Amino acid sequence: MRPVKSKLSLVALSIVAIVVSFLAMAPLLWAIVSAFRPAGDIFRYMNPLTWLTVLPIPATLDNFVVVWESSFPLALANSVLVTTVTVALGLAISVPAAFALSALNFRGRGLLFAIVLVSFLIPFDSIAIPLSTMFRTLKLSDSYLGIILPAIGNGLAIFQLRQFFLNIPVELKEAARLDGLGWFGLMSRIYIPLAKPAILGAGLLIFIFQWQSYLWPLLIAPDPQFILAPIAIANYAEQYNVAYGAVFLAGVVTAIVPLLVLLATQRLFVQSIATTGSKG
Amino acid sequence: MSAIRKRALLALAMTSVAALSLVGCAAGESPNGDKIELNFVHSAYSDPLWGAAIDAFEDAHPGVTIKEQQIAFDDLSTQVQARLSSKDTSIDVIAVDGPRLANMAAQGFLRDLSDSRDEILASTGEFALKQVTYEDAQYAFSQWTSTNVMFYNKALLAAAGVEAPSADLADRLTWEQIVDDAKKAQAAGAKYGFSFEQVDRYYQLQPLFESAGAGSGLTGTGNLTPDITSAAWEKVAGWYGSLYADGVSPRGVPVEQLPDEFMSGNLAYLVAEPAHLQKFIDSGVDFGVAPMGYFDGGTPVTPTGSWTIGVSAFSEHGDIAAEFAKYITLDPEGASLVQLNGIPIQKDSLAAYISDLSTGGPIQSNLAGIIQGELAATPVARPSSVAYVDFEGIINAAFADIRNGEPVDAVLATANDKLDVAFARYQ
Amino acid sequence: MSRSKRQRLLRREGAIAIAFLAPAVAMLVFLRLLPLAEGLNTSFQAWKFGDSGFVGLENYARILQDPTFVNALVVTLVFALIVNPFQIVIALLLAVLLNQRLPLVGLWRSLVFLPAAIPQSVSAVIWLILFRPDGPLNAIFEAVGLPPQPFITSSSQSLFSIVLVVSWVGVGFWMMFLIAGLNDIPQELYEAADVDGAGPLRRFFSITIPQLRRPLLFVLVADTVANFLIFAPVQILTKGGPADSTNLIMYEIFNRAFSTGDSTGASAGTILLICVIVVIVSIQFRLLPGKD
Repeated sequence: MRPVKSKLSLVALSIVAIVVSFLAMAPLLWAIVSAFRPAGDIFRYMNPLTWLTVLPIPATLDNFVVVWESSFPLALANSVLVTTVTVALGLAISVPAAFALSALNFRGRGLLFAIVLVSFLIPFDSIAIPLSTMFRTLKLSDSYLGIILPAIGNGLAIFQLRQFFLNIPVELKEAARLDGLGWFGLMSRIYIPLAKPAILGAGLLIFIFQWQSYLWPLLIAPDPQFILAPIAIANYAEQYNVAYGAVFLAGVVTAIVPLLVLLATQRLFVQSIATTGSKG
Repeated sequence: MSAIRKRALLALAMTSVAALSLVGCAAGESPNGDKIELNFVHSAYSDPLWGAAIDAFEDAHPGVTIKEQQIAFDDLSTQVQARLSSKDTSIDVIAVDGPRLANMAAQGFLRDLSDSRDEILASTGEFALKQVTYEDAQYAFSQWTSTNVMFYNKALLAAAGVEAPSADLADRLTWEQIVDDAKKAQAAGAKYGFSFEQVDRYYQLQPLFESAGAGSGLTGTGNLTPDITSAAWEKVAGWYGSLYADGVSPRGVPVEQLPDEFMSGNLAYLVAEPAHLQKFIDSGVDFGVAPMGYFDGGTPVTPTGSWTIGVSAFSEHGDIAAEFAKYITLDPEGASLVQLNGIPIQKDSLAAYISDLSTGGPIQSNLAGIIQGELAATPVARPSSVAYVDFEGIINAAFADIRNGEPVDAVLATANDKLDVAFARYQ
Repeated sequence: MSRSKRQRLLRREGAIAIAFLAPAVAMLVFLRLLPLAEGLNTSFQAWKFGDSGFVGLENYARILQDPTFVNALVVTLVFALIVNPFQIVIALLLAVLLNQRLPLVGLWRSLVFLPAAIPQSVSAVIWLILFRPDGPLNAIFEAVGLPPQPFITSSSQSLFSIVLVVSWVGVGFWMMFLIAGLNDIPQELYEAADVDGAGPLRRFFSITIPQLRRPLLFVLVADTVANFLIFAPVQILTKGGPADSTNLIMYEIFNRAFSTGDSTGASAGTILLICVIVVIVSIQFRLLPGKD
């Protein structure tokens, strides 16, 4: 991270940061406020602007009851489980692949990198139907594995990791090899510690893909016991009635989980090749 | 797929699966001889509409369990299309939107239920029989039917000195009169004068064209010829567009948010499903109910049709699935256990519904009279066509364009060209 | 090193590389390329309802003669030209800003990222309400004396409205990768530039941008691909309208595959889309080459 030189620019930059965060959050704040309104009030005070536009008066906790009694709690638990496993497995196969593509010299590297690139250019929704047929043949429907598998193969995460691994100085690699470190040791003891922000980033890519997945789980695991958060939320939209308060509330709760993870992992962002590598 | 490719695929898949077996095995259940699980796929509801009927069926059929797969209303048809097109056997019983039945039957997705033709006719009548028929065979049982009524805000009309419309079908107002009154209500302070609930949906707008004698928009053998550029169609579409151009109807408010405008007291007239009745009563808005309008010189026409219950052609338990489907729709006991989402169509349930409603209070009794009268005299079903799905998508988009102020003749001409392209697939 | 020794070493590294790459490549082949091959096969099959059999390139010819499909391609390219530079510039500015040592900077980063974590259906519904002509955005406009805007109800503003929504979701996400990249730039380079008396702008263009080359290439490629595949916001906000002004290609393909059951047309469209993306991504690789 860049240290800020003068006190004045520190204050100015902080204000800009707060304003930017507020702009990003503003639509969500409106949704959060609406989650506390009774059903008939959600669209009542949005134009013209008054205090009631931003204050939920009268306030109600009805939407909490609706959300709690719906399939959302189960769905959120499923989402957390599925996404955690996906990120863990996804990283476990992406990191070695990216390491091989950036640190090893071998014939066919170009071809394999091309496979990685093409794999993430393919619109997943377009291949979902043929893929679901394959999964059903393999008896993978209505299972956690069926939901998890497609998100594990994430070419984008491999590409991202490779880009950052390439930044690791070759001298470091050669020195480690001369010290007798094996390839696996090189990856686990040099590359991974040096590229923590990149690995966090790859985790983020895999995470978002799975956290946002909607079409695929609906297609391959329609059994209600496998319901995921975005599906439970979509189900609040009934034919003649949309529980908007519940949609907003559950939507915000769904976003809080990644927010907490991100806050907890912020310190990983300070570490890098620049700070640890040059001293090591 | 060729056998070799299939084997190669399988081998590759097996290694990948083996590599990941630490995640746990797939939730496969051993077919336990007499235990049968039926999957019933339908649109999502917060209330268990079929809960009591399912319990009763399970009690009468030991070893059979019914599992409901709820899919959000907007995604149901796309999910069913995707799963059945890949011959998914995990769907046994499906809620089928009436006008999509022809297409699904033609794709071979639905089990032929023609043996039950007489029972369909006896318990749901001639009109419903036609709805579930494609090329002389029956493919589903009707669960509900529907009609539309016009809700009005009493206070907003009174403020404008507009006389409240009568609930009597004989005194039905013309659309011209209604929009005139709506403009008066708006001038007297209503935020919006008038709106259709299902703003861009053919379901609710088809009656306008039918009322003016412009036709459904589809003609010819199998309803595979578009007919939406006639002067009559342009005239009605122009009238619809003028509601938004004049600001009588709110532009840019999605279907799902219009009932809220009515409940907030922002809207003088709303043409909508009777299903909103309880919600409107709970909201405390002072309202009345009247029949839908008709065009001056035209005929009164109302929308109709609803969910039907079909059986997947790929079900491994087709017989018992068909029995369940029939139980919840045609059987007097089973049908009576299904909660309402619209108007029941099984004749005993319909009679009970109307009689319950007419004793519920003044608004309810007016509503019961309108529903009974409309269902008997004015409903026009959506055209039966294998290309209905294509038609609906294109025509709904055209309605949205007209609502947003695009020129009517250009929109209809473009939509007509699109229909020609889409229908070429079915020629 | 002798030629044969180098070859032997290459072979040995090759065997190790295969071990490291095998799980990932197996996954990608099985989960992406095989179904794509199936899709490619579908794109050559008969398209008439009820027909079957090989028809060659008929599906490609038919969708390329369909004005709706061609329009979708054009709209998508225009969209890509607007949305990608816009998002990357904003994401880069945010990254530079939030890479400073500010109080609570981790919180600000997380909040800017947050829109990416909300289910797409929820964020689209929020914007559907914000964009209502009688909605909160116009209320703000009116409060500050601006005329109300039609947003997604007008064919001239709808595409920009979609750009706004997807950028709101995307910029915080891509910012994270650029922050990670900024962290990899050695501080000494900046210190040396300070000694030379370089201003902030010169530092940015002579150090930050060149040093950020690889992460920037990743973000450019990934963002471009992601934006070619945008679909849920269109489905919820505009359904491609008004007058097809937001009919992005992925929405068009989805409609064919999932709604009308035109799987052959959808497959041909997918293959064409992939070809377009491959061309564009190759150009990006040329523009921002890595050192290797």
